[in-house]
Amino acid sequence: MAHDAFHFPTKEGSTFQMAEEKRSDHELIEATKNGDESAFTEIVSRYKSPITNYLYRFLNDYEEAVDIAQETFVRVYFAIDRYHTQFAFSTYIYRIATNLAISEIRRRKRRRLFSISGILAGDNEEPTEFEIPDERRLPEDELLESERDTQIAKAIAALPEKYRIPIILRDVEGRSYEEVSAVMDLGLGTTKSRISRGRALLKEKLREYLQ
Amino acid sequence: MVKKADNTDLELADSELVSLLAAMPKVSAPNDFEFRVSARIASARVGVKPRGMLGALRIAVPAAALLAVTGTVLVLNPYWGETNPVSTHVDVAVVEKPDENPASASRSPIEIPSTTFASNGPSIESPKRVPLDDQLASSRPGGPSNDETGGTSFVESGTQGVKLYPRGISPNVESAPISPNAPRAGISIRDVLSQLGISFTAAGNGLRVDSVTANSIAARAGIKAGDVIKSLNGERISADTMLYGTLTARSVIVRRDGKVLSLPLGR
Repeated sequence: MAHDAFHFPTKEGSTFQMAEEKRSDHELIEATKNGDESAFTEIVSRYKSPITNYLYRFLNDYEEAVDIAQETFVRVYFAIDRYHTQFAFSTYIYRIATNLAISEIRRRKRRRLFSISGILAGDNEEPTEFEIPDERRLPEDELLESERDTQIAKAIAALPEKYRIPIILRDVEGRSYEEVSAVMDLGLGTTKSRISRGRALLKEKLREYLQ
Repeated sequence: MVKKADNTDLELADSELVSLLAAMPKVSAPNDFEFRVSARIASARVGVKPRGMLGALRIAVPAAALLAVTGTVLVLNPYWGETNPVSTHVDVAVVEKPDENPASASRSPIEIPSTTFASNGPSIESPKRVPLDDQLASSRPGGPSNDETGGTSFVESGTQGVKLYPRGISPNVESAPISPNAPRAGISIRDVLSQLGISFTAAGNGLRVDSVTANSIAARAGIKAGDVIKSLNGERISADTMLYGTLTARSVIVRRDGKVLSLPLGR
């Protein structure tokens, strides 16, 4: 299946592909339903880094990202009987992670007791909200990022959720437009529109790094 | 094909930004990620509430066991038996005030608090309404009887079971009629005259003095053998006369040789 052949970029920039002899996601899910704990451990090993990286770019907080990634797998485990194999497992787990991350962001907002919102002049189809970027430093032991990467991360984290999610899924995680639309439960056209709008916002912020 | 072309055009338009984003370093999950996920799952399993029939049984079984134990205690508790009613709150036992002539007297009920029943546990029975006449019918006249414990008992055993009355407020005390034939403590006239120094025998209309002790009160009063004592302190006496209370012998009237003499005592 397409989602089983998905390529996960590694930290060094190279790629690996799951060996064909390895069990597919659906096979691991079925094995987990039948009580095979090692099958679920393999699912965790397979998706822990992509989910953690996605949440890290979404929240811009490594500890929070790891915590929510773990919670994502716990939710998957207890809802595994309700998972239907007609959907790609990667889409399913990314959607759970996204919902948990959105809940975390809203919890942060309530904790800060303030928020700033406004209408961004631009395309007239959707109003845009500004969010206060998280100024916490990225974990240096995890990321030896350049100043450019830091500014890119800040720019992504400052995007509104509706642009941030598709930008990360598509341009950082490399998911297809169809998968991104499935994760966000939006139409393909709306998804592309949001990606385009998000890129436009990023280009304005990262003008100095673009020719 | 048109869709792919659209996607390609979209990527080309933002190719520089896309390349910039794709080149961002990736973070990895920590090494203990699987262990921490397993620990969370184990912890969540403990907190998961059982669902369906299993959840219902986890509630129903302890509840049934508790009810069974409670019921057993209630049934087997000897302190809550039928013949030993007890009370911790103020009950009222209604009795009817006795009359010496119950047939003609009007009956007016009186209420006696029954808070001091001899018991050692809570009551589960309603207050008993005990007619006093029933109690009196099975009790001895003259007041409450003394039970084996040495105290005044108001527990009466009858053919209809045990009746309880409050300690210290027994209806027998003030309601039981005093019979005129009841034996009373007293002193006989023989003892009284003996202390005066007189021994006598009963005569037809008095007490004939047989002898008088020398230097006795009677001797000093001048009573002599052969006198017939007619009265003591002005009261006619006979051989079976009984005297009650305190007595101060002041004078006797005797008949001697056809004459009636009043002889003062205690001179």
